[in-house]
Amino acid sequence: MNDILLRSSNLTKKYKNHAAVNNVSLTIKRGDIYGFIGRNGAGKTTFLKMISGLAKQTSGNIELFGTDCNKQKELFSRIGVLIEAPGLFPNMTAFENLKMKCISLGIKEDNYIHEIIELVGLKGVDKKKTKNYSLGMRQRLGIGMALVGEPDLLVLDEPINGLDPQGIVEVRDTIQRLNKERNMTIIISSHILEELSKIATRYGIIDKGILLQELTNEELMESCSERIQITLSNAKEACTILEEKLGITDYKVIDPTTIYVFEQLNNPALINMTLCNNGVLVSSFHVANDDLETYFIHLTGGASYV
Amino acid sequence: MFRTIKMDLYRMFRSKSFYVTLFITYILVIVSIFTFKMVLSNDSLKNFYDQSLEASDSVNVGITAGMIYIDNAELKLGDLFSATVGGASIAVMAVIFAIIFICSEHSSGYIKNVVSRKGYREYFTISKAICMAIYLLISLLGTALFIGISSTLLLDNYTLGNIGEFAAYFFTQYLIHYAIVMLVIFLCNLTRNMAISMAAGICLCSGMVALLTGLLDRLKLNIVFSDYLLTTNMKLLPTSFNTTIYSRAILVSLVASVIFGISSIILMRKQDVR
Repeated sequence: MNDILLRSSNLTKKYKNHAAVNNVSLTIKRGDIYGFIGRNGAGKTTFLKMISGLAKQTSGNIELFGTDCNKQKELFSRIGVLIEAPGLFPNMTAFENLKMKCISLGIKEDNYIHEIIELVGLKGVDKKKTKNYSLGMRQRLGIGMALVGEPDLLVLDEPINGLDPQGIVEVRDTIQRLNKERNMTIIISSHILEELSKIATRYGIIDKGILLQELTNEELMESCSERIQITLSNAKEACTILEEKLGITDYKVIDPTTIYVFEQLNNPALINMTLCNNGVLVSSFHVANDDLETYFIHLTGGASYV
Repeated sequence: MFRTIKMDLYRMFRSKSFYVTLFITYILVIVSIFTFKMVLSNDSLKNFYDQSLEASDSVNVGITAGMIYIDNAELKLGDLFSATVGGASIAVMAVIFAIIFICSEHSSGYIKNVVSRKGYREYFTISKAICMAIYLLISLLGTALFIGISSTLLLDNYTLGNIGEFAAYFFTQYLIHYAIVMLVIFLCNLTRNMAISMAAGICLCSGMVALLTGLLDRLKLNIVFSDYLLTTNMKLLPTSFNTTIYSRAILVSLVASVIFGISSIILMRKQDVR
């Protein structure tokens, strides 16, 4: 079975002269919970619309389940989608909205609808018209609509917007359960980076339509973990000194003048003194600990808000 | 495709606008017949309405709940039906329902849930066209039925008339109304805006386009443009069968339906979902 569920190659979407998505190439593997991060207007929703079949790309390629989407448009049918606000008829109940989608897929059992309603926590209010729903309830129903038909790939654009803390926890648990029990691959875009960091296994960071970085959760943890960040004259020489004099082996050379040290964090003064006494010029020395938000802000050039 | 049609039918029969527009249509019919009865009972009013409209090439602009030229002659189902249909009230209600039904799928965002299904972009128009065909059948049949029942109860000189002639008239008007609805479906897909589509649709039914073609007709070219308008054919179709007029009306309706249907499908294929 092909491990790569989605591959985009130089995917671009232009509106007149403005490139909302600019040559984005990424891969999503089967079983991933892929966190798609970007600020407002970065191009997340546009990208998600293209991979869901809602918008046509200006150029570039989308491969779904190992096949070019242009040749087999029915592949989009295997994707469950919640893009922007949930698409619900306000004068119909949750049951009726779900029923309609079931009819379109040939699902006849009403029990299936009740299962989805229970899964998204709307039991007891399914006969209420959706115009009387709170934002959180509509979001949950939107997720339920995306789940109808057991999609192989779930695309959720800001699914926890408007949810209360309990709702956020429930959605998080639902997503993790779907991923674990049904091996569902999920793409989530969100502004609430702290929540995303609790569930995502891989990340794609997009800004101004350009994919800046793709990294796994482990790579992100490594980048964000507490460390001593040292800017110095000669990284290679400094590493030798740290190993020989202090026995430090857990470090990483970022570039010829920057190293990260991940051990003996409670003794930064000793490390600094050792380097200086052995002729290594230290220009900057501090203990750093980024969270996902700080990492994102640094990567996108110091935005004042996410 | 059948699943898409089933889904849309499920929604149509649960939508308030379906029942409201039909209710208004039937109420207008009953009110027309009742008003007619009042005119027949009142000599001064009867004399006033006995002045027939002069036949002309121009088309009435506007919506009417029409009275017909009466004397002591029999009032046939066909004549009464023609007065109602020719007044464009049924067309207006059908247009209103079509616009609400189609635009709500875009405005609610529901289309995002289903548009990526295989073939949905093509089936969207076909499914809506079938739903509107069913709506129109219910609307026109119901109108004929309510005319028949209320006329039987209220009017003394009401008769069924020539059923064959009525059937031909009914069928032709059905096709004309269907073509108008297909045009509206195209407008909805083009604008994806309920207000613009509604304004355009109601202006269309009111015969506003006839004002433009009326100007073209004055150019005295060897063609009467107004004869090829859907609304002109709807309003001026005679109840007694005429091969030329009926053939032209049917042809115009079929051509319009096909053109607007295909155009709608092309639009749906090309447009991004907002």
